[in-house]
Parts: sequence; structure tokens; C-alpha cells
Amino acid sequence: MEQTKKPEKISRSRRKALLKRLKAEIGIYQRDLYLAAFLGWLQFLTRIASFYLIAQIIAQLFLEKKINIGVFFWQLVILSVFGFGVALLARKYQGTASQYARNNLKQRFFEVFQKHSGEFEHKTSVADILTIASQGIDTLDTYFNRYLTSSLRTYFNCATVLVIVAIIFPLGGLIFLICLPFIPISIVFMQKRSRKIMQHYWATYMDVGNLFIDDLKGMNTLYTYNVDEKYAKSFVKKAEQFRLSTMELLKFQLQSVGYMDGVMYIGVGVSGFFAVLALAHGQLSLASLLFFVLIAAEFFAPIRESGYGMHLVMMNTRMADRIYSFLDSVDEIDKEVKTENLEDDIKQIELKNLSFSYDNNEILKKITVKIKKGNIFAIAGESGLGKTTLAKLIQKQLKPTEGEILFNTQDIAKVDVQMVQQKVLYVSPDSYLFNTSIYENLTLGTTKNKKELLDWLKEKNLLAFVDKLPEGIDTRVGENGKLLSPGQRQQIICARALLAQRSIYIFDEMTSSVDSETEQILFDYIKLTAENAIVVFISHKMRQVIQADEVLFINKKRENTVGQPQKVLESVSEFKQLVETQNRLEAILHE
Amino acid sequence: MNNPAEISTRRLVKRMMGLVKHLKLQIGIAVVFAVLGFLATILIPSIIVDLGFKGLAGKVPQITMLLVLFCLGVLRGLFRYGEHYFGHYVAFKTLANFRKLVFQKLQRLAPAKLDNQDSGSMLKMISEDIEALEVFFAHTIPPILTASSITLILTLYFWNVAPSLAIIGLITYAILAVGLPKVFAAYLQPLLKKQAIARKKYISYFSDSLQGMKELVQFKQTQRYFNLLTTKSKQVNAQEKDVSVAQYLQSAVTFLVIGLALIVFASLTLLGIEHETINLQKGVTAIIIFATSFAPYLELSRLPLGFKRAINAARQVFVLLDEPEFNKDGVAFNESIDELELNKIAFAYPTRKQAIFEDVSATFEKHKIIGLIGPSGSGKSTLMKLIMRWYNVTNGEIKLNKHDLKQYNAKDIQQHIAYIPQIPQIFKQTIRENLTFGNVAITDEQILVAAQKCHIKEKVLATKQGLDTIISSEQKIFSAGELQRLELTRALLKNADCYVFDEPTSNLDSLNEAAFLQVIRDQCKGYVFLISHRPSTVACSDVIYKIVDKKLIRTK
Repeated sequence: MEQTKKPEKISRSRRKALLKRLKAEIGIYQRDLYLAAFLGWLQFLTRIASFYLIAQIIAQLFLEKKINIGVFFWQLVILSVFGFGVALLARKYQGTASQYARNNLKQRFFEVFQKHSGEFEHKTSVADILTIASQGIDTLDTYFNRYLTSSLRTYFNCATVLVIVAIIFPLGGLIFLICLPFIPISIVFMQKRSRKIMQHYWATYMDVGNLFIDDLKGMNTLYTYNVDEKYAKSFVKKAEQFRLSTMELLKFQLQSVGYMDGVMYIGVGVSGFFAVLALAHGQLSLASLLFFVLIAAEFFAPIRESGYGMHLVMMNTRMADRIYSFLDSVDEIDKEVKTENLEDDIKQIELKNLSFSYDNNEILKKITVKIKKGNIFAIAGESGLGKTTLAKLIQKQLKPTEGEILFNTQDIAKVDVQMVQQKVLYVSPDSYLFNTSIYENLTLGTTKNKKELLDWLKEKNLLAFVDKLPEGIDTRVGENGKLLSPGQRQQIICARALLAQRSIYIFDEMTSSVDSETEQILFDYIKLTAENAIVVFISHKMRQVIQADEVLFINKKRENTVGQPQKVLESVSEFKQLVETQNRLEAILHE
Repeated sequence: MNNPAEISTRRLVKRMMGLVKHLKLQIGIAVVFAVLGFLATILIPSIIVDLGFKGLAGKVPQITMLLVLFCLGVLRGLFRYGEHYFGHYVAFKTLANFRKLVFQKLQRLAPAKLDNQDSGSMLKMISEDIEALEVFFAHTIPPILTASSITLILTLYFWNVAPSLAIIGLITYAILAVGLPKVFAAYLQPLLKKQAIARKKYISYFSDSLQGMKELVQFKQTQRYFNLLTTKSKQVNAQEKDVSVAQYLQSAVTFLVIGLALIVFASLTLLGIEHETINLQKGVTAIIIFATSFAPYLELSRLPLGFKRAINAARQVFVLLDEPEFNKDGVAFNESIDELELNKIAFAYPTRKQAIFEDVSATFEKHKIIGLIGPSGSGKSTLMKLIMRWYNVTNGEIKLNKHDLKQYNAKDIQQHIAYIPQIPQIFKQTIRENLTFGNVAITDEQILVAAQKCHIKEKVLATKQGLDTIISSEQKIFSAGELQRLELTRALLKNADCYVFDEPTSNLDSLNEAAFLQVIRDQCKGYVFLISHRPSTVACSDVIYKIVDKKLIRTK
């Protein structure tokens, strides 16, 4: 009930296109939908037939003809049981179309994520997309299941009633037709109106439910600052404001409920009156009048129901808009296919005169360097100077503006991005741990069984903390490893990478957000990795950088220097300054 | 905590009714409108039948009757509107009411009640419970009352036509409103539970694999995860299907019951007409009324499921509302904190038997940084919470300026202590509000001076709207280290005599850790307690205590 997002208007044509696409998601299961609707219609016919029999027998009674109540009784029972039988038959078609369509959409989400390699420009939008994927898609059930079914029912049932009425009492049919457009008109009108009201009251439309949790979660902080009472008062006030403005809105929105009921019963009453007039003038039989009265409501009820469904469809359209906007974004990724293969053993990466600009801003300037297997090659500099951009260039996620990147002697511009991906492993604190056991996470990159893995860990003296956990290597790590300490989490990420045995590793700020002790442990993992691979180590922490074999230092002017750390320390004053400042700062930790 | 099962369902319902006493009028209006609306719906066909019979007798209906029918249609719309309006009124009023009650209760229970790790999930549960209660009050009570009133009216009416018809009516309504829903609820409940569990698992797996997509691509595991996901989704689909089939069956059986009831009702009426115990017109009207009378009962079809949920929800909420409150009262304390001494104190949490401290004595010196080190769970934070009087010591006494701390008002003590928790607490409001909590006496200039001391001023001013930028716990503007500095700015603005830092560095790297400690050393005057499990964090303290075996040992 609580609106959180300001509703934006979706254009008419866009809305139509969206609904069409949604409907197409059902694919071959459209058959199930129509079958279910057809069987529903059969049930409906049995009901209409029963009404007909009732009207007939009453008329015969009135005319004082002989009637057989026994036969009447059994006819109706057979109709009723037949209807129930049809319903049992229709049972297996319930919801299948909706399931199929929703699964379809979820699979496509998965594929699009895959094509994006899970990388998105804005971090905030990822959370949003995840919510759409995990919850939003399922809200479309109201469209696929309820709305489509009920609109089919409306078509079938109303057309049937209309045909019957047109036969027995044409004027009644005309009145029905006149009433028909009043219902959708009311909905459109009401929606326009409530959008206006919403805008008017927008300031008070906050999400009180979230405010409730947010304030209470921070209650202890509010207490320590002695503002708990003030916040309680303000919460109560806001909740009341929200309630009042919601009621104000409902005052209008609910009018459509009353209005539709009004139209329905006015239609029944007015057409009934004319039926009676016809009867009084001998143009309509009693049986027809009774039959007419019994089925009149059957004409309006489904229309009213789909009227109720219309605001749901509005919400569905909005959701569909978000879903397709995301799914369509994948088309922008180019799909060029390259045929050249990379050599198995890569011993060297060479950056030749490499530059990169973004929006005319030069980010990386003419970098020339050879990175060799068996060494730790550090990229150092303060944050924001393009260290991670360089990592992306090596992974071929970005294309250099100038210069080239060679793996051995091959220019990666001529190699398919997937080939590059198979060679390079990018490791950072943002790497993800899956919500399973430590073991399951480690086996992502290796085929070692549990015993082999444990032996390997012992031999290399890695993940020592695992032995202290009650469940050892089978301990569950929680979503993205949140049940572990940051240090433990990052150690597992490193061990997992090591197990994958790639030719090239990029460790991006892997020693950050941990204390100095863990920092060194993690650096040991990186040293171990470098024994058998090309390792690029990106960091702003100079204590580790000077332990590297070679360093590429980027200064504030984006100029770069390459060399052994000790030599750079002597020749580049900015580098030296950085090392000294950090040492001085960290002195407080070693008093 | 009380055992939630202890409150009996009957008492619960009674208490719940007590809470909506002041809404009696609105509930009553909603019900009256619903009943009137229903009467309009049966009156319209009855009038037409009546006019029909008169027409057969040669009386052409007057045009005024058209007006009457038209007005009845309009009234039906108005009644329906009224019913919904007041129904929603009750719903939103109860929602606001319950939130208010719970909010205020938690405010009184703070800080002790919210002082544990799973308080977040407790809050989530309680807010879901409140929503369940809203559903109960808005969508359960009025429909039940409406159905009851209508039953009374219809039974009287049918009885007047023929007692047997009244009995058939009563039986049918009972089956529709009570029998079938109960049977199907018993059948549906386990299915729904199973479905919810399967769905939750699937969703978490789905979102896990999307979040870890970069890793899946890097390790070439996408196909395997995709297949697993498909298998899981098939399982969920099967469960979902079971539920929707069951629900469909319920509606099919309901229709069957209605059909059969109508047959019996019509046949009995016809028999009566044939034997001339029932007047033809009256009988026909009765049949038509019966045929159009089921809607209010069908609204009750999902009631048993909702009722159970509401009762459980009410139980949780009342247990919370009944929880005894810690007495924070005491003599006013408005001196500054100058002396702090532990005198043979002992402590155990009220809910746990195990003691945290036994016979601990120590004297803390002002103007020194006091480090407290020990593994997590050893009681470092607990000791601080005893000094802030979130809890009372079980034995011995804490001496504050030579007097027993217990005698002072807890809130007064807290006024003098700034507490900086491990995870910065950010509220969804402007940076200014987050730092001052609406204290207008603090000027922007003062805020910026404090922010500068914490080396965060530039970053704050660099945000889009400066101090007016709205931030929240999910924000991405500030890093963990920067949030910690905002929290410190907030604390400095409090002008406290005593600062308590509870694991302030556990999410920081060593550079940020060092920078943060530097600020503490330069800016915090008076008592400074520094709690950490990291030796590097407490290294800069003047005095260091280690917690070993429920005792405090001075190591520096």
C-alpha cells in the first residue's frame, strides 16, 4: 500500500509495446491459457443452462402446466457435476503459463548478467536490478495469471451473455452495450486524478515502514545522544501525516470501486425495468424475463473484475518497463568475434606506449613496460590515478586509446575477449564469495577433492584459521562471506584464485580493509602466486609496494616511472614522500 | 522474556479487540454500509420480479420505478464506496497505532533491548507482525460482522417464506464461510509453508549467483550454476503448482456447493409452490435472492489462513509490549565525570546464567587513553555498558565521583558519555541531521570545525549538496573509514567528558586505522576508552587492560 517511488508516466505506445512483449513471454504456453479459459467457459455455460432451466420451470408453474420436479432436479445435478468435472480437467493448466513466462525472464536476467560479466557502471543500480530479478519478476504473476485469465474470461462470458440477451431481448442487449464503456472510462479518469493528487501530496509520501525500521535500528544511538524521545515524537507525527495523506488519496481512488458497482447495478436495474415493460406489453415471456434477470449480473461481474485488475496492470507495466530496460541494455555490448588463439604459456605482458582517455580526459599516459612471470609487479599511486583502469585494459574490458598490449608477442586486440578472460584472473576485496561452504567456494577453480585440497592447504600452510572453526572447511560463509571476518574472507578469495592456476593474476587493493597483520598474510599469498605466474599487484599501501620486484609508479600528474622499488625510492621524490608519510602515520600502531 | 505460547488465544483476541475499541464506530459504519450495499443488490432483482408479476397481471410499471431502480444502483455504488473507505480507515489507523505503540515501547526498552546482534531481524519480524495485524483488523473483522448480519436478515426472510428454506440457507452459508475454508486451510497450510521455504532458497540462490556473476564468468562456472538454477526453479514451480491447484480446487468445490445448494433450494421451493404452501411470487423472489446472496461469504474463504497468522503476530507483539522495562530513574547527575572506580563488581546478563565479571576492581584515570583488549565475547563492551548504566552491576559498585553510579539517572549519565559503536549508525536524513540530530543550537560553522578535526570536512563539502545531502545506511558516498570519521564528528559535537570507542577500527585498513587513532589522540579530552581485539589499535593507549577469565588485568 505504501508508495515508495514517484510514479512516472509511461507513454501510451510504450505501454502497449511493453504489454505485447509481456504477453509474448508466454510462448507456447498460450495454449494452456486458452484451454483453461475454454474449460472455464464450459463451466460458465453449465451455469447459464441451469438458470435457463430454472426460469423455464417457473414459467411453466405460472402457466399451471404440469411439471416434473424430479427430472428438473436431476437435470440440474448433472449440469452441476459436469461443470465440476470440467473444473477438475482444467486443474492442470492452472498457472503453467505464468510460471513459464517468469522462468523465461529470470533466465534472460541470468544471461544478461553473464554478458555484462557481472560488471555494471553504477554500483547502486546493481542492488536495484537484483531486487527486480529476485522479487520484481514474480510480481508479474498478477498479470500472467490473474489478469490474462480474467480478461479472457471477460471476453468469452460477456460475449455469450450478450448474444443470448440479443436473441431474447434485443433492447436489453443495447442497454448493456451502452453501459459497457462507462467502466474503463472511470478507471482512466480516476488514475489521472489520483496521479495529480499524488503529486500534490508527494512530500508526505515517505516510506513509513522503512522509517520505522531505520529509526528503531538506530535507537541506541538516539538514546546515547538523548534524542530518542524527540525522534519518537517525530516518527508518530510522520506516521500520522502519512496516514492522512493516504486517506486523502484513497478518497479518490476508492471512488472507482463504488463507481463500477454503481454502473453495474444501474445497468441491471434499468435493463430489467425495460424487460418488465416489454413483458407488460406482451413482447417478452415470463421465462425470458426471469432468465434475463438471472444472467444480467453475469454480464457485468467479469467486467467489474477486470476493471479492478487494471490498476494491477499499471503496476505490472511499470515493472515490465524496468525489466525490459535492463534486458535491452545488453544489445549495446558489441559481439565481434576474433579468431586468433593465445599461446598456452604466457611468460610476459608487454605494454607498448599505452594510453587511455575517457571523455577526452587522459587517464593513462604512454605507459611502456614489460611484466615478467615469476615476479611481483606493483602498480602504485594514490587512488583515482587510473590503476584499476589499467587492470581493465589488461583484461580487455576496455580498449586502449593508443598503444598495444602484448601477451608474449600477441596483441590482445586481435584475440577474443573470452580467450583473454581464460588467462587472466582479477582478484579484489570486491570478489564475491558464494553463500555455501568454504570448500565449495574453493572448488570453483579446481577439481581437487576434499582430501587433496586439505593436503594442499597444509603443504602450502594456507587458510590456517580453518582448523579452528568447528566445522572446518565445511563452514558456511554466508552471503558474500559476511559470516567471516574481512581477513578470513580475503584469504579464501586469494586461495581460490591460487587454486585456479592461471597465467596472469591481477590483485587489486587486495591488502586493504584489513589490519597490518592480515595484510602481510595476504601478501604472502600473492608472493606464492607469483612463483608460477605473472602477478600485477595494485596497491596504495607502500609497505607492500616496496616488497615487490618491480613497480610502476603513477604520480599526481599522471606521469609514470618504472623500476625496482629501491631505485624509484631514490629517484622519485613523490614516491619517497608517500612511503615516509605512511610510515609516520602507522607509527602510532607500533608504540 | 515471556514464553510467547503462554498467552491464550482467547485472551489475545480479547486484548486485540481492546486495542481497536476506539475504532468501533468506523468498523460499525463499514459494516452498516456493507450490509446496506448487499441489500441494494438483492432488492434490485426482487423489484424487477415483483414488477414482472404485476406486469403479467396487466399493470404496466410506472416510470417512477425506473427512477427507483436507478437510485438503488447509485446507492449501491455509494454504499460500496463507504464500506471500502471506512475499511481502509480502520486499516491505516491500526497500522499507525501499532507502530506507535511498538516504537514507544522499544524506546523505553532501549538501550538494553536493542543491544544485541539479531535486534535487526527482531525489528523486521515485528514490523511484519504489525502488517499482519493490519490485515486482520481491516480485512477480517468487518467481513465477519457483515456476513453475520446478512445471515440473520436472510434467515429471517427465508423463514418467512418457508422454514426449510431458511435451514438450507444456513447450512449452505456455514459450509461456504466456515466448513470449506477450514478444510482447505488445513490442506493448504503445509503446502504454502513448503512453497515459501523452497522459494526463499531459490531466491537467495538466484541472487547469490547474480551477485557473484563476475566470479562465475572468471572461473567458467556459469553453465553449472545455470543448470543448478534450472533444477531448483523446477522444484519451486512444482511447489507453486501444488498451491495453485489446491486454490483452484477450493474455488471449484465452492462452485459445486453453490450449484447443488441452489438446486436443492429451487427444488424445495418449487415443491412448495406446487403444493401451494408457498406463494409463487414469493418463492421466485426467494430463489433469485438466494442465487445472488453468496458474495459476502466468498470473501471469507481465505480467512482461516489469515487468522492463524494474525494470532501469532499478536502474540509476538504483546509479548514485546509486556516486556518489563529497566528502571533508568535516579538522582539527577549534572556534574562532570571526574572519577571512575570499579569496586569488586560482578555481572551476569539477566537472560544468561554465566557471569561475565567476578570481583573486578580498578580505578580509571581521567585525561588518559584507556585501552581494553580481549577476544570478542570477553566482556569489553559489557564493561562500558555497565559504566553507561545500560545495565546494573549484580554485585559490588561502580563509583562515579565517589558515589554509587546506580543511584543516578541513567539518561543523565549518558549525557556525559559519547559512545561510538563498531558499525557507524547512519540515519536516512541529511548529513547535518545525522551529525546534530536536529539540535539547532549547533551552527554549520561548528559542524565544519568538528568535521575538520576529523579530516572529513573536504569530503562533506564535496558532496552534491554539502551538509544538506541525504545519506542512508546503504549509501555509497562515504567509505567505511569516512563513516567512522562522521561518527566521530558527531561525538565531538556532543562535548562529552567521556568517550567510549567500541571496536572502532575493525573494518579499517591500517592506514585508516592509524589516521583514526591520531584524531582520537588529538581531539578527545577527558576519559577515553578504546576497545579492540587488535593489539595495533590499543597500542597508542596510555593504559592498557586485558580481560582474562572474568577479571581485568593491567598490562601497561
